[in-house]
Amino acid sequence: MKFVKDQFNLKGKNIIITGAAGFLGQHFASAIAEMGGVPILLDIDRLSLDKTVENLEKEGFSSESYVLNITDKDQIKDVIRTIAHKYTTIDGLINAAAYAMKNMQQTSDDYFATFENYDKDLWQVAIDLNLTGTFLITQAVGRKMKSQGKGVIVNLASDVAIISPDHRIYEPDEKNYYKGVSFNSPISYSVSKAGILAFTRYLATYWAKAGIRVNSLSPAGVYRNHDPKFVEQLAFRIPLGRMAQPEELKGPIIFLCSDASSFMTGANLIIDGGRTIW
Amino acid sequence: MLINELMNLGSKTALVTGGAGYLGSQICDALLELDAKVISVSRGKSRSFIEKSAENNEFISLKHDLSSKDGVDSCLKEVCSLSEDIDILINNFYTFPKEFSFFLQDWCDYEEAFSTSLISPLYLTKKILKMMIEKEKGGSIINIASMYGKISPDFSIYGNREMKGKIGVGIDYCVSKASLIQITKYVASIGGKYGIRCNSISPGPFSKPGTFKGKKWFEKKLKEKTMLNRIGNNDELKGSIALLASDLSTYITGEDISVDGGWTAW
Repeated sequence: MKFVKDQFNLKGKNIIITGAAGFLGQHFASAIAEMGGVPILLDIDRLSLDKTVENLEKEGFSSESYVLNITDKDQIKDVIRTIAHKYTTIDGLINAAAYAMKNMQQTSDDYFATFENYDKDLWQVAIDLNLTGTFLITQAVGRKMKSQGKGVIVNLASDVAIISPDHRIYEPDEKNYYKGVSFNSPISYSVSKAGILAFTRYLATYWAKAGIRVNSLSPAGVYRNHDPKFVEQLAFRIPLGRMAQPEELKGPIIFLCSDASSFMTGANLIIDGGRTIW
Repeated sequence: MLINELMNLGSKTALVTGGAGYLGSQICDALLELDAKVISVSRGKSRSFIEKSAENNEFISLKHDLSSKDGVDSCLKEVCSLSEDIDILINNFYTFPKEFSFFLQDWCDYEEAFSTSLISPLYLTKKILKMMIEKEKGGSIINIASMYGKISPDFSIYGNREMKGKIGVGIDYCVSKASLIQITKYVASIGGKYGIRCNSISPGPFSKPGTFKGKKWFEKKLKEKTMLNRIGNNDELKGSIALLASDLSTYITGEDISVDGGWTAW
């Protein structure tokens, strides 16, 4: 029988994080390092990646980073080969890369267009990254995990993969003096994240005998300096009455990456303050 | 705050029903390992429990039969005399009914079974939730449900009947576990604004040692139904207890965590 604190320990575990320079990715990396693991950071954005490594250093953690576009099969092959060469095992993979926040700023008008006018190419970019990219990187890392006979994969899904976003929170509401916001939750996000839930169950079943556990984690709105009026709109739709702080995902991600969840596979852990229960 | 600090239950008191049982024991172990004060309630005390009490002064084992209102009330009275606060409640108690068989269970069997498996944890939860709200210190309530609260047993595992010998699953078990999952959501909804979280855990096969003695066929069938192709170990519920009982899960409420080796995902 193992002590529960030891079950949460990640000492010596090498864990790859995609989208590691993203908003949530950074917190995952820090949590893994804190529990004794080695975070291996992958991201398409060199500058943000360097910044993330720097931030981790400030916290006293060392990490390693690789620039990678996960929709590029050849790049994946090179990077995973390098990582596999350097580390005897790859113990974990956190699929956190998604077409989201940062990209939103670059193409905001189009990305948040109405459904009736939504550009097919933008839909395709999101599907390519969120689903096909996740498929490609998981294929490459999974191959290595299968040869080791062990591994843990955590796929980031979302509350909007389970329920629909409530579109009213983005729209103006004159009665409540709410002007609305310049962003929304596009359909490609909901659809691709719902796909991630099926992807998770499929691979959990497929790799069960190979010793690879596959689970998903579904966070709801995480606070990131949002407009207070918007936070108000969202908060009263959540039983806990507030948005999540990014630090609140640390416990759940460590739980899923570690032996604390050794009898879990094919599951979806929802961290939503109760958003999906009513 | 560090993850190890968030996990610590040093200043917390937990009430665990059915704490002397097979799952109850590992639930108590997990809480004790995280430095909680644990009050366990059971109808009887197993030997390992007496030893646990002797070696750990943070562990209190009480003897109460929770199958009636009087039983729950007298339990609460004693619990309140021992501790001012209950920060964590774990509803784990379940007892098998006298009659298991679906077609043999009569009205009175339903009444008896649901008093114990459904009304008792509901009533206890209401009482503790009220205490937690009055204390204004938040809290965490965990209901031990089951995969059979979500899916039906496949009776081919149990020799094509709902009960065979001492193995199998009666409908009272499935209905009460499904109810616990719903109670979880309802209570989470009430507790939200008070910072009281309520979640459930749905374990898959966690069979007691000795269950498969002379019944290898049954073990084989259970494993076949489980993606991970094995029975849960007696320390594999500890992680989810630690997660939900502690501040590791401050944004998780109303959730049901499947710790079932993948049983319900295919």
